[in-house]
Amino acid sequence: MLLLEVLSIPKDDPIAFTFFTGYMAMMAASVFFFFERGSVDGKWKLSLLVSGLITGIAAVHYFYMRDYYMATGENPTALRYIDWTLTVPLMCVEFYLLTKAAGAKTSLLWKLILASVWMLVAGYIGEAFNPEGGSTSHSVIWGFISTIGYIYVLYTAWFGEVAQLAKNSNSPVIEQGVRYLAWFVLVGWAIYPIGYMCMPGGWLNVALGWESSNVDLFYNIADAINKIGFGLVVYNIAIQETAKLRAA
Amino acid sequence: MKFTSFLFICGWYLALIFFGNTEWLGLDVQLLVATILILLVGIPHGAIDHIIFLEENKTVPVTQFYLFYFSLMGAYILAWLFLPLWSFVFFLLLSAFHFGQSQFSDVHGVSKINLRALNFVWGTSILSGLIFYHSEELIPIFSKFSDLESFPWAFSEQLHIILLPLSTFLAVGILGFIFWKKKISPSRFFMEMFLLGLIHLSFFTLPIIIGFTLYFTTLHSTRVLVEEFDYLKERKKIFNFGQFFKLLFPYSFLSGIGGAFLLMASYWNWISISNILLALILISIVTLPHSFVMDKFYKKRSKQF
Repeated sequence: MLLLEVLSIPKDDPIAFTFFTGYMAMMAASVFFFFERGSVDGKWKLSLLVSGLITGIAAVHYFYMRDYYMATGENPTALRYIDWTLTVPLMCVEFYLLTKAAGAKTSLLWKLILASVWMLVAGYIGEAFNPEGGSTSHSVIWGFISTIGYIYVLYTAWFGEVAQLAKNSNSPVIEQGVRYLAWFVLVGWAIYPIGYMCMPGGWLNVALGWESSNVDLFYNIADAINKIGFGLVVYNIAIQETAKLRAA
Repeated sequence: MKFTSFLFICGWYLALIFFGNTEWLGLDVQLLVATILILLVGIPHGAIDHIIFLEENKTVPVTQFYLFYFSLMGAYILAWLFLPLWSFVFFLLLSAFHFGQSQFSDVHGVSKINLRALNFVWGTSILSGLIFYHSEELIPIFSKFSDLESFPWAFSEQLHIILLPLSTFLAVGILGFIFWKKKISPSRFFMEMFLLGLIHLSFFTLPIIIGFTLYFTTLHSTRVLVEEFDYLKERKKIFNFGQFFKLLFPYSFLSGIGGAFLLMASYWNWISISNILLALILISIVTLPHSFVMDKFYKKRSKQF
């Protein structure tokens, strides 16, 4: 029965297509990160575990979200935000783990988690509780509140504590890795507001006529790039640092 | 990434939220936000031209500097009275060069001709983009006033459909050449490409007033203010932000008051020209001597490298 449903995916439905590929890609990435834990030095195992958890949690959610989408044709908003509420703070944990050796304190970890949860909760209120027909005031106010959290994470990664710690780590690999992750936050995370602005009353909805149906496509692409990409950057740092240690 | 680029990106995110949907916050709010930002950041970046110039040219008497500065302003006012269209075109060209110059003020070791060409085509690319994306809004506004009726020529789509890709192609080409010659790092080249794309995207996505104000206050004015602050600190003329603020305040305040008075005078018809033309004249006559001072400043600074 499930196979029949799978075969009935319309060829011209990129959203359904990305739900399926997103699910498989996340699952494959998790397997990869979990297996590769064995090939890195002890201090990097936790970072790879977190990378695997991020993609693993996302894969499970994508499994449910693709079914929800196929059955209803609607945005699985609640499922998406449940996924993000777990995975985005975990991405912030990666920043902490990478800079821990350079002296990162747990206060940094909590500040990043708090900022990311702030960003997501405000985004959820803005998206899920938008009045029928769309209210620009509602989406602007909650979009603004959410963006404050995003800007805090962005600042911390580019100029704040994380950037300073990476500089003090005396490891060009960590410094470069943190810079790559900061680029993910700057460019990769910026795809999410595109989805948000497609909501009724949002800018892309009003100005360009993009609809909520476009939201999922942007979110699926962004999720695949950010979650798997984030993990691969961490993996690359772990492998290079391990090689350095073993050569010494 | 420079902190000013970070400010620009964050500003763009926030501006998109508030001003992306133009039906939500109208022209009045846009003008108010733009005025506040230009008064707070835009005007101050040119308010210590005298200090910068006299510090770099110690043999020039103060009176001679002021005489030259005000003569330039006076000559430009005369040009506006007799040749308004060409004065406007000159203002656009001058602004293009000035914006490019501040963007690449820290690029050294590049031949003079390449750097000047880059400054010019980069600035032309962004200004042409700003006009091209909003020509439909600009032409009706400028056509409404009799003293601006010849100006829409400068905003025509036919002109900018050629100028925009040409200048952008040349800017990218020169940047690529400078990168190939190893005068800028790969990360700087990548950042410049990213930023140029982002400036165009911000101009395309935001209303013209907000888009330009965002660029002007963050990537241009704040950047120049930071350079001025660092320079004066290096010369031990100031030691903290408070002292810098005290230097910026007098002429910023005078400019703000003077500009507001003239605009009100135009509003009450004491001056028989449109508000837009008056604003253009005011902005351009302060831009000309400021660009001259900054050009001298950047030239002297580049000789140190």
